[in-house]
Amino acid sequence: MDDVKKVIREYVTKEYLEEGDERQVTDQTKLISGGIVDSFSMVSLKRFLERKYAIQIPDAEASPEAFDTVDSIAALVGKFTAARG
Amino acid sequence: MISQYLTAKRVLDLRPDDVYWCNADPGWVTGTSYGIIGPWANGITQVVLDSGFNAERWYSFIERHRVTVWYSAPTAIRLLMREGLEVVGRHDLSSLRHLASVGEPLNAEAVVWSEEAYGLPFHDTYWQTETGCIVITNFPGMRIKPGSMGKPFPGITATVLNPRTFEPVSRPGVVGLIALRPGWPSMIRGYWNNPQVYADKFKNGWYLTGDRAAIDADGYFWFVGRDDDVINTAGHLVGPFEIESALLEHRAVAESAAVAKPDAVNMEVVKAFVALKPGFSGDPDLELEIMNFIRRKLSPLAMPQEIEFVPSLPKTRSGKILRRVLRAQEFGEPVGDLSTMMDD
Repeated sequence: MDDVKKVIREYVTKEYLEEGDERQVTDQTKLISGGIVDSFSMVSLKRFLERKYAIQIPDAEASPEAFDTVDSIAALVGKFTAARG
Repeated sequence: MISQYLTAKRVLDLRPDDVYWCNADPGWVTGTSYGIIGPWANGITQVVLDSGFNAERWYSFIERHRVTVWYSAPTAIRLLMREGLEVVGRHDLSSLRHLASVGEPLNAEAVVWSEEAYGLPFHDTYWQTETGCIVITNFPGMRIKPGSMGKPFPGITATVLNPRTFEPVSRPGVVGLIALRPGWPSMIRGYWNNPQVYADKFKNGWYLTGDRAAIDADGYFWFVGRDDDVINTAGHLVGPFEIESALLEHRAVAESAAVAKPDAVNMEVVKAFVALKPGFSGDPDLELEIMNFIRRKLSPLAMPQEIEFVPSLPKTRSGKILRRVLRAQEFGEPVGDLSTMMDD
């Protein structure tokens, strides 16, 4: 799970923070409600996770709440990787 | 004829010693207006090639006949871009003096590429069957802003209107309805057996083209999209042209169409249909790469929420992308009249 969180933190930092943005992305940083990842960009983050972990996240579960922190995203990934087996 | 004579002379820059080639199909209005009437009214030598697209054959044709002015279309130009520079290098195209484009908005990437490939930029020209002649354009000698439609032809009064009030937009950069002051010589006089549709084209003393654009502080027009093609996502209007132009800048993309896809939350979101260049494979990794490319280049709003890789895009026989067909498929609606669609 720590590896998953690290992957998510690094991807969010690389893809969604502008150059020069010194904010640190922690496991509890508010990504959607904090304006780092908007609801339109969430789709690309979802796609990345699906490819990285060979899972399918149903649209109904890909809510702004589920994607709001690294912790909640990692939990979502964990749920679907466990279901995959 | 007056409008076509004048615009062929001043926009296509036709001169007595020119050899002119317009590769538009004669069944398309460009093929008649600027493939016959315009050049003939000016007494210009003209060449005709009875051939579909073939880069080698087209360049050989230009070389053999020492074509000086070439009027083409964005679809053909994008195909030439896909064929690359090596084939250009095998031919002497030094006779070319002036290049112009018609039919769809010309992506900035195509203008930049043509300068590299031919030493000359394609000049985008804008008009419709209903206008009868070129009305907004890039002129010979005028500074081209790649991606811009240019400025109104002298004698044409053009503006963009607020879609609610039908008054001219007063601030640069604000998108509105492209409109023309009626009365130029080649203006449409009516739609066959449909006076109401004709009447609806005029509002507040302006002729409505059905297209949207913004005018910048220098007076250049910037195409956004057909009224029907503009995507309304979360209340924001997104024009397909900007997205498609940005997609074209991605190394893998040969052609694209951006249309609306229904969305429960945002009403509509952007979906892109992409035809790839040879050597690229349409897999999920490339889809994600292209999505992020657009998001960084334009905005999250413009980022396609889905990309579908296709072997080709549906087009009319004159080469215009049929976005309405793709949109109708997304919305589960009838695709409408396909009689003008090009066969694959």
